[in-house]
Amino acid sequence: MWAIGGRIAGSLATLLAVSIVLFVLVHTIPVSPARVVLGIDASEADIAEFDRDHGLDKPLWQQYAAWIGGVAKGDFGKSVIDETSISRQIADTFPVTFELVLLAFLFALAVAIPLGAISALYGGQTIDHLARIVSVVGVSIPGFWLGLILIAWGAVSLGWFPAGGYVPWRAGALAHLQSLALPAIALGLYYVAIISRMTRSSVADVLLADHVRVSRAMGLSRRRILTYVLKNALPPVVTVSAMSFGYMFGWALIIEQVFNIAGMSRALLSAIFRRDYLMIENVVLVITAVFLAANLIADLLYAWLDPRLSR
Amino acid sequence: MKALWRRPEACIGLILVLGAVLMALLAPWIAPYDPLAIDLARKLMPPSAAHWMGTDQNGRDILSRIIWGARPSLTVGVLAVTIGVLGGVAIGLSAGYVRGLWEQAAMRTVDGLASIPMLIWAIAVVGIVGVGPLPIGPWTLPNESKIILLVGILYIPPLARVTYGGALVESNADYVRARRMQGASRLAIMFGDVLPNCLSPVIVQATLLIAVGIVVEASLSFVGLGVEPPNPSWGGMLSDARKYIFSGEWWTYVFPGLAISLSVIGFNLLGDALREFLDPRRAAGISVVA
Amino acid sequence: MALLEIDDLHIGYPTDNGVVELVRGLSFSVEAGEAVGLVGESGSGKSQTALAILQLLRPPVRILKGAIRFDGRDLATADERTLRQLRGSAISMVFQDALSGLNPAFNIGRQLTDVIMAHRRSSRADALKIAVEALGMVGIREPESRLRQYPHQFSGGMRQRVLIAMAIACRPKLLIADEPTTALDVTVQAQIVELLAGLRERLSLALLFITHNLDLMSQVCGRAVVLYGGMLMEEAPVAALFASPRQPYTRALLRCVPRLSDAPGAINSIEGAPPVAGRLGPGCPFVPRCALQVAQCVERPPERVDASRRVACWRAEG
Repeated sequence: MWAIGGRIAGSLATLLAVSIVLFVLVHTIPVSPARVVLGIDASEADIAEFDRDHGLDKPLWQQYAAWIGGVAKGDFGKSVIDETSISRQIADTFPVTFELVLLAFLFALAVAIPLGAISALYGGQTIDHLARIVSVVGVSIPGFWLGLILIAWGAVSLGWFPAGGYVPWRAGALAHLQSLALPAIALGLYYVAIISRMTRSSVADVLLADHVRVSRAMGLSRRRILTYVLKNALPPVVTVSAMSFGYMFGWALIIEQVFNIAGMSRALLSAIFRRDYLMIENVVLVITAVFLAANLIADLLYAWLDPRLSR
Repeated sequence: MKALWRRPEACIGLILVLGAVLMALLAPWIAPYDPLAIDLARKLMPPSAAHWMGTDQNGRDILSRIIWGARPSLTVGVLAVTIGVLGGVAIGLSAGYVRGLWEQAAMRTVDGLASIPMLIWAIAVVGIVGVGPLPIGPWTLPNESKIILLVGILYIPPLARVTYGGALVESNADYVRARRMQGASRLAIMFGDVLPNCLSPVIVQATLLIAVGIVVEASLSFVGLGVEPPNPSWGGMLSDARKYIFSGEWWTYVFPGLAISLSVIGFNLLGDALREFLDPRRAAGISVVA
Repeated sequence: MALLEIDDLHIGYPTDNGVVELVRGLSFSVEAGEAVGLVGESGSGKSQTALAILQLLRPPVRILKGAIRFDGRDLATADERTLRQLRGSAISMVFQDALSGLNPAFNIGRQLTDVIMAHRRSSRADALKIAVEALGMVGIREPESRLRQYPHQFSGGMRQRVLIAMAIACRPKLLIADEPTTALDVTVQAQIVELLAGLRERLSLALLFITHNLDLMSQVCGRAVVLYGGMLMEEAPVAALFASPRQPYTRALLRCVPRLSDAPGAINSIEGAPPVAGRLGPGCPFVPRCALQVAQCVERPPERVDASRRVACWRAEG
């Protein structure tokens, strides 16, 4: 129990450290928000007034504390560029990205784990070689290009899927899923490759273990032995999968841009082009937090699955 | 054990990698046209004898742009990995050999760095610092240098960890003890004896990270945060070609994507083959890095 | 008819240069309730023989020739389903790998009951009762409380006991023990051997005890088969084997076992190196190291049968 608390505390500490780095980065750039809004020719007085209004004249550590304090309560503050609520923007866009990542993740698992397991069980045969090729290709094709190709094929040629845009759930479940299908595949294929490779090697390792020989010698059915093998092979696969979830969040932003999906990428990239540094700061913090959470869950799941480690 | 050149994967990988490298190095001499030469009269022409890969929306020869586009991709990949290797090996080696407080501090910092999602931060850093040339002292570095620096730093954790693992094992070996008894200095042992035996997994990891770097550069260029137009880059070409998915000028988006894919396949195959060759026992150690 | 009959067994695997034979024409049998020791150094082919009985040889190693009859039925030609029914119930096997033989991800109750339920139509609850009984028989105290524990919570010797419990839970007729003590501490070794001897009596099991340790074998077996280079060297009741070994290899082997009566510091060994499978001619494999070898030894020696003994040697006395 203490170990879990320790790991969580460690992740929070890392998040805090990362937030400080982020804060320093954002607040040491030469162009101040005041200038962005008021223009290059603004007078010193106007700038000073702007800064006072937005709390930008306070010492850095105070601004940081105010920011972090707010974030802890769920309030990301207001953008100084256009006065919109950052919390609102994040709340609007985060679920979209999250759902895209979730679908891609489930797609990856659903394909990769059986593929990897079958490859290991029938090692050396055709299915194994095929899986190997899928793996190398899948890990090498850039997701955003795959997205473009999928649009060209699935939307333009076949017309089965929309070429872009996000259809919310309430506008129709099928249309909603259709709008996310191609992006999920484009995002997930890379991880199909990685997770299937991990599954294959893990299962192959377990098949050579002494206890599997004992299971065969005791006359257990093939199905039972398969259950045993899969459970033994699971921990590293789970770890890799959980970590993949975190990484997927980053690549999702690129995929969103390909498919014109209004997720966090829109918040981030429009903030970049508007020079809305505070927005950038908050979006990056949120995504980093998700990333850290995914790694933390990976650690905890591994410990939970392997009885030896959890004691 | 099969020699490296007898393995089909290694050969294919090597050929692809050499192809990409040669394109990057010899671009000025092998590109048939000037990649920046605009000729609106010949825009969006399909592949032909004159233009093997057709022309883009500004009439520029796509083949030439692909050849020149190898430069930013490979530069980012190789330079970022170089930074990662220099930093990572130094940290991992010293942590694994010297141990103690330095080991704790170094590896904790490495763990902290590993918590940073590379792509987001690359986007954010370029976004915050601004897209454009980076003036440092008397030099003016292109936009990609920001990416190289950030990605390079974020490559340190995997390379440090790999070196650290090897250094821990090797530092306990008898030959190291023997060298210490001979009175060899710490540095001499670290770099002369321990390091060469830790290098195999580092080489494998570095090769695979070059592949990742190529995709990161292409992704950033695709969203406009990488190579500045009109300089050719594979990601940038794909960004330009987006609208032509709907109108059928397939050569604008198929060739750049193929270029990225084939170079990445090359480095991945080479990395895999090196792993099988250098350390077959641990050939299964797969980890996600991006 | 004996319970187990090994008849001219040949085991090997194909290579580019021909077939490498690991066991070359071995024949012996085990009667119901009997304890037979299969003795040999590493590389003699004893483990392969054991694996072959239950058809657990790992490809490309396979049975090249010969029959393995259990209760009259040839196992070498049996189908997978029949074999699965026999394994763990009529014939059980205990291996050397006590530390890694149990699946680390499941508690021992689950592993035991899975085996029991694979061979009997019983509920999990009933199977648990049988499991508890089996654990008690192998000397594990308070077995009910240990059912939910995981293998890593047991010591090496205890894990081997659990594996033995798993093997006898379904009351097999034959128990094959392949070097069951080699991976364990010396003190524990004796306990395990004692346990096997006790179980054999209690359950009227036949036991095939495979080892390179003559002393351990002699504590539980009535008869011994000595193997070298994939061939039978000698077979005799244990007492007779120790008292008057007739085959040069057996004699040399017995000389190697340290005795209190030996001069202090005297270590005997057999000169020369053990045979390498695949590089042996048709003759007696012990020839390179045998003090009694003659020209005829390059031909495979006949097995001279005498009362309850067999000796494979051209020079065997009487």
